[in-house]
Order: sequence, then C-alpha cells, then structure tokens
Amino acid sequence: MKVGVGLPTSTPGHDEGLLKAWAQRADELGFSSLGVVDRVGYDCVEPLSALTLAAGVTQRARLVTTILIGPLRPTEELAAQATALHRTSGGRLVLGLGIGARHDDYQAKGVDPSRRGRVLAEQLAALRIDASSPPMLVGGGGPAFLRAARFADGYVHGGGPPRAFATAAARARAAWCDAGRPGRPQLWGQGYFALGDAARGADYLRDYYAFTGAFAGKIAAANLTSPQAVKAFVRGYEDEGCDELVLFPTVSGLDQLERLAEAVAP
Amino acid sequence: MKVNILGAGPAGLYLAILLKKGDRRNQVRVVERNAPDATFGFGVVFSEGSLDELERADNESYVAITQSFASWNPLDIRYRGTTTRVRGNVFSGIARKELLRLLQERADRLGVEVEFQRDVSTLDRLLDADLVVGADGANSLTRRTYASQFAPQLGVHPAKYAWFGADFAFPVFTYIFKETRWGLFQAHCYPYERDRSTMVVLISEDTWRAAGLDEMTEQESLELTQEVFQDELGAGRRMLGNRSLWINFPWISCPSWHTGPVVILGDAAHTAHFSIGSGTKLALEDAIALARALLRRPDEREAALTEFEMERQPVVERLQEASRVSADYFASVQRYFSFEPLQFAYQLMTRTPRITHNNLAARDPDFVRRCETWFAGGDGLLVAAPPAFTPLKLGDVTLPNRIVLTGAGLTITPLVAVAPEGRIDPETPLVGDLPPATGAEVMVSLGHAGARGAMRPRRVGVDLPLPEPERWPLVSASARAYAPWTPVPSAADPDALIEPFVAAAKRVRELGYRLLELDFSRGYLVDSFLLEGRLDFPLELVKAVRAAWPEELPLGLACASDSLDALRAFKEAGVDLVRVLNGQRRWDERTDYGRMYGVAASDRVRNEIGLRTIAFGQITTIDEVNTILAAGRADLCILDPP
Repeated sequence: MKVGVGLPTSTPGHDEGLLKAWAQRADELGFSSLGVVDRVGYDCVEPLSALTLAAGVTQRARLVTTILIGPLRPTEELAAQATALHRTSGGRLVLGLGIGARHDDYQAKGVDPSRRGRVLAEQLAALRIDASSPPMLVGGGGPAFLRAARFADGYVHGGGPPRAFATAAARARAAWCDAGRPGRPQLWGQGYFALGDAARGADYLRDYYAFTGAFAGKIAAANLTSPQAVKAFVRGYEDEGCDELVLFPTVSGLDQLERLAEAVAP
Repeated sequence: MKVNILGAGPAGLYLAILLKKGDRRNQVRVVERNAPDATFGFGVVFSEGSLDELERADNESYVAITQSFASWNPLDIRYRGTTTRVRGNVFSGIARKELLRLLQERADRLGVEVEFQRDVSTLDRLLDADLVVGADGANSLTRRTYASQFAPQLGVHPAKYAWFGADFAFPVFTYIFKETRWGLFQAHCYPYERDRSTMVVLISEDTWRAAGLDEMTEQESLELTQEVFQDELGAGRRMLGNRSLWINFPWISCPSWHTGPVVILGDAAHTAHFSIGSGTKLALEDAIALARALLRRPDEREAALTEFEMERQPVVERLQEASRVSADYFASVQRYFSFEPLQFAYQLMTRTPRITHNNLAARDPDFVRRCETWFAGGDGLLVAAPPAFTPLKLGDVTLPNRIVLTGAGLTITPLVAVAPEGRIDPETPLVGDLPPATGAEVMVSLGHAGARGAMRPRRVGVDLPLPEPERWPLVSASARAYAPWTPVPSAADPDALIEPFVAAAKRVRELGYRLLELDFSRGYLVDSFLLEGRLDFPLELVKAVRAAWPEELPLGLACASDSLDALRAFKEAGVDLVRVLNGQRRWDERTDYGRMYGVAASDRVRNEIGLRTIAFGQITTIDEVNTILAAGRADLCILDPP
C-alpha cells in the first residue's frame, strides 16, 4: 500500500506559502500522493488551484482529489482544467469525483441538488470518453459503487476505521464484478491526523464537520493523534486491501508533515 | 457526578449499578413509572453465547443472574408433524421479574436511589443533573422529547405478534409452525422457570384478521391461541396472558444517541427484532459501555458520550441488520413449507448471514453430517462431501460440483451476441467466434445488447458509447436510450429477432456445447421488452429456442427476479435454470452490494417458482456456498473469490 498526504488547504492558518512548502517537502519525504478535498462554504483553497500550485513545486508525487464535487462545476470547464493540469504535471493527476455531502454547497453554486446523481453520471461519461482525461476515482456510498465501476478506475472511501473501509471496499469490488469490468478496482482510503497538537486538530474537525451534527464529535474523536495510532491505522488499511491511503492534516505547520513521515516510516 | 436515569428496566438499573460501583461519589437516581414488582412479558432470553462482559462488569449481579438462569443447548423445530433437534445453541432464560428483582437488590445495596410509581410526563424535573439518561424503552419519552436532536428513524414490521406465557417449562427452546384454517401461527417458546415458559406468537396481518383476533378481547384471543397450540402444549396445559396484545414490532434507530447532557440507550435508542433474542443483552452491553466511558472520563462528558456511541453503534447496527433479515425470514417462512424437515431446520438456523455451514458444523456436527448426506441424496450414506462438492444433474448433463467459476463445476461465457448489431462492444464474441466445445462444462450465454450496444470495451468502462463513426445502429423494445448519455436506438421488430437466436442456439449445439443460456437481464434487448411489461416476444423466443435445443439438454435464463409471473411463464415454456441477475436494468437502478447480496433474489425465484437457480453477488467463500446450497437458496453459486 502507498501512503500519500493531504495538503493543508482548509486547516486554520493555511496560506499559499505553507501550501507550496508542504507540497515540496512531502514530495522529498517520499509521500506517494498529495490530496485535496472540496468544500464551497468553508475557508478553503479551490482544490484544482491547490494541486496546480503543488504541481509546480513537485516532481514525483501524484496529485489527487478525494473528492472534487463534480456537479458544482460545468463539465467543459472541469475537463479543460483537469486535462491541462494532467498534461503540465507530467500525467500525475488522479481525478476523484463525487456528489459531496452538503446541500448548501449546491445552493451556494445555484445547482439543483436533486439532479446531482444524474449530472455526475453524465459528467463522468463525458470525461471518461475523452482520451486525454486523467485516471479517475469515484467516492461516496450507495450508488457510488456502481458509478465507480461504470466510469472510473477505482473507488475512494470517505474515511473511518479500517473495518468501515473494508465493508465499502467489498462493495466496490462487488459492483466492479457486477458491471463486468475486468480485474480489480483501485481502492483508496483517507484519514485525519494531528501529531503533537490534538486539541487544535479536534477543534478544526468539529468545526469543519459541524454540518453533520453529532457525527462531527466522532470524526474528531477518531483523529490520529499519536504515531502508534497512525501506524495501527496504516496497518489496518493495508490489511484490508487498500491500494493508497491519503492522510490529511488537521493542524497547519510543516512539523506535522515531518512527524507523519516519521510515524509512517517502515 | 449527578446522574438521573429514567426507567428502571434492565438498562437503567444496570447502568445505575455500574456507575455507583465504579465511583461511590456518583449520585445516581432512577425514576420509574411502575411499581417495583409490576412487569409485563414473561421471561427474557439471552441467545448470544457469551455473557463474559457481564461477568467482568459486575461479578456479583452476574452470579445472581446466572444462578437464576434456565439454560439449555438444543433447540427443537416443530414443523409439519415432525420435530427436528439442533444442538449446540446456548440459550438462557430468566423471568423478567426475577432479573429486575436481582438488579433492584444490587442497586439498593450500592446506594442507588430508585423511585417507583413516579409518573413522569415531562423531563423537566430530571434535568438538574450532570447526566440525564433515557433508559425508558421503545416508547421513550426522552427520545420523543428530543426528537429533533436524536432524529429517530421509526418503522413497523408488517407481522403481528404477542407475548404469552405457558404454565409449564418447554424442555428446550422450541419453534412451532402451526398451519390453521386462518393461516400460519408461529410460536417461539423458551422456558425460564421450573414451571413457566415464554411463548412469543407471530402471525401475518391477514391471519390476524381471518381468525378474528382484530375484534377479540384479550381473554378471547388467549383462548383461541391456546386452542391453536393445544397439541404442542399437551393436554391440560395452559397458556397465560399478561397484557398479551397483538402488536407490530417497532423498528427504531437513531443516528445519534446523545445531545448535550441527555443520552439514550437500549430500546429507547434502537430495537432489534425479538426473533434473534438479543434485546436485553444489547441493553446491558450498552449500559456497560456507557458506564465505562463515563468512569474513564468523568470530567469530559461530551467525549465520553461520543466514545460510548462510537463503541456501540457499529455493534448495534450489525445486530439490527441481522434482526431485520431474521424478521423477514419468519414473515416469509411459508415459502419453504415444501422443504424436508432437515432442510427446513437448516434454513431456519442459517436465516441470517451470521450463521454459516461451518458455524453450524461446530455447534452440531451430527446435524450437519445428516444435512450433507441428505443433500447428496444418499439415504444409506454415513458421510458425504459438503454441498458445494455435490454433483448436480440437469437433464442429461451432470455437473461435478456446484461452483460456477472458470475451471470449477461450471463456466458461463460472457454474453455471446446472436448478431453483430447485438454486440455490447467491438470485442463481444459472436457465435462464429466460439471454439468447439471441449470436455469442461461451459454454458454459452446468448444475448443481444439492445440499447446497451456499440459501447467501448469494458476495460475502459461500462455504457460508454463508441465514437460516432464506429457505432452500429441499435435496436431496443422502443426508441428509448438506456442512459441520458447513450445513443437512442430504434424500435425493434420482435418477429425478426427470433430467428437469429434460434440459428445461434443450433450453432452452439453443433459446436458440441450442452448447456445454453439466454440473457434476458440487465436492460439488454430482451429485458427492454420485459421492462415495458411486454411478455409476448420473450416468451415466443423461449419457446422457439426450446424447440430448437435438444429436449434432454438444459436451457437456462439470465433474468431478474422482479416479475415472478414472467418467470412462471418461462418455466412453463421449458426453462430449467435461472441465473438470477438483478440490477442495471435501468441506468440508475440501485443495487445494495452487501455480502451475498443476490442470494435473497435467487431464494425467491427458486422457492416461489420452483426453478433451479444460480446465485450471484459477493459470494466469496466455499463456506458461504455450502450454506446457500444446503439452505435451498440456490442450486449453483457463482464464486467471486476476494
């Protein structure tokens, strides 16, 4: 299993300088990919812009969206941006798409949320038949498993303990088989960490996920706050057949990245 | 910490005990509407094997409770005049009244304040505490008071049930299936005292009305039910009532179990159908987890309550899911009334995916041995291979085993198109591409992609149209695209479509194949007619191919389970075998891809219509295959090793 790291695009105090330094250092430290998430109604760098910045200062790491809320963007514009980034980065983009978890993101963009499943399907079809498109992943639950099998190269899980990943991964594989795709889907996972500043990390997660109500407390409680917890989590995901795990910071600061590298070092 | 608990049932009392025992400084008060000795229902049952958690949490109450247990290990299934005994299932029963008395005593000794007969119609007077606990059951006032925060999902099971007692101890846990002129009566009976048993009786709503139970008094209903079960009770024995009303089981689940200082547990937060007998155990385990979290983090209430939920919710969700499957099984159990008693018992034991062939073999090796020899068809056999490795005879063809997988018992080809325009993609084989049959049993699946044709190869994706110049013209039942992004077909002339299938079937036979399947699934051409309710063409097609295919060789279909009427017609027309394939009939049809997800559909087709079936859908182990086959849910399984 490969281990990637998220970019600090929505943690408190993030800025362009940190983003570039983080991406560059993560690339040097050997993280396999740099991940970004997508939120409209939050202080957060636009994901493809963040990956474009990262592409400029890195050579090796793949650039992945886990996930980008596809229906919020016009397909032509998204296709043009993604293709351009994929080309300029030397083929390093992995485009993960989903419908996202929030209705208010749709309201903010003036998009009808009741049609989002259909819009995403048409968008995925359009992107997929364009030969210059990057590799693609689909995230989400329910219909997302077949969506991933129909249009993408794999599935990206939304986060949770290894057991939750295993359940979703089994469904993603079953959908792949049901759709008649040859081989196996790529399976990606994600998690959160705060090494050295657990309280601030928890505050950020509770704030970022406030829209989920009581669930925010659970996400904050599951934050990986010790090297042992990180190791156990990585091992758990590896055991469940994850291909690539992206760990996202919950505290801004390059020291977080160094500590994570130490924690995941073999 | 000051804790107010609403409800002196097992969950509330046990939590009070653990909190007081863990820290004597905790002020724990329990408020209960009823009197200490007022209780409804008879005995409660613990069907889960291990009560180790209770032993660790509070040894004193564990010893008291388990000393009062009636425990037994076999269970009896009484069906169609037979009794089948299955061993190795540890159950324990205790009178609910006795359980509460023991917990009350223990709470009292520890200094818990318990106030009985306090009518609580609002929570106002309970809120002056650090923690307010709703242990107030399925009809929880606490949950209803904070309904917007707990956001409960509520539902009811369609069947009716009522709790009764009996004035003697059934020798072991007993399931009774009793057919009456009004319909089926089922009783789940377990002893809990020397001369007392609980009988939970289940009936369908139709039976409830047909028997007139909807208009009877409690006493009349008791008398009628006793009459129904008089043979099983034995002469002179009586059933007992105690608020024995016919109700529907309430499904309750909540995404969150706490809000501010208020937390709910047990039935107040979640119900699990009584047919897996875990409600009381779940409630006690909730209390253990909640007490542990609170004692570990006395000054961080929010974190403790979050920890409690994170620990318990996954466990509860799994049990609730299993209990839903169990409830559905008992509601549709008549589907299996043609089964031999042995297989009927096997099916009952493995009704939820939690018990597999291997689990059952560990519990009662002799029962499984008898099932295996029966399955293998040998009355005189002492041992036989497990069901997965039992041959299957289909007409003149005998498959060496029941596993569908390249190189195993049976191989099914991908869709072989009957004509070039019926290809899914440019790489879809045509009948002319088939090699002559070799020894291995291969079933050729003939089909026509219809509106799902002219797509890119599946290594790229599915339902992705070819670039326009490379497409071929599509036909379907009518001029409707499969998906918003796929090309619009033209309406097919059904008469012209029969001949290519017949010619292809003949060619398949000439090549030496002995197994043929017609693909009527997935929104492909033939399915597009079925989706429009047009049965004529598919039926004509089956008849024409059946006439062209040797009588002694089996004819299969790949088909959804949605229309049993259509499947019945296909069976009449000579179909022998159905590969049950649901999903993808419309582009946006949803499939729940859980473990063994297609088996329920296979079960329905096999046992409602009486066709042999091939099950498909996240079947990943031989153990699962054995379980599906022995329970009569399918005749063959497509194995998808992980």
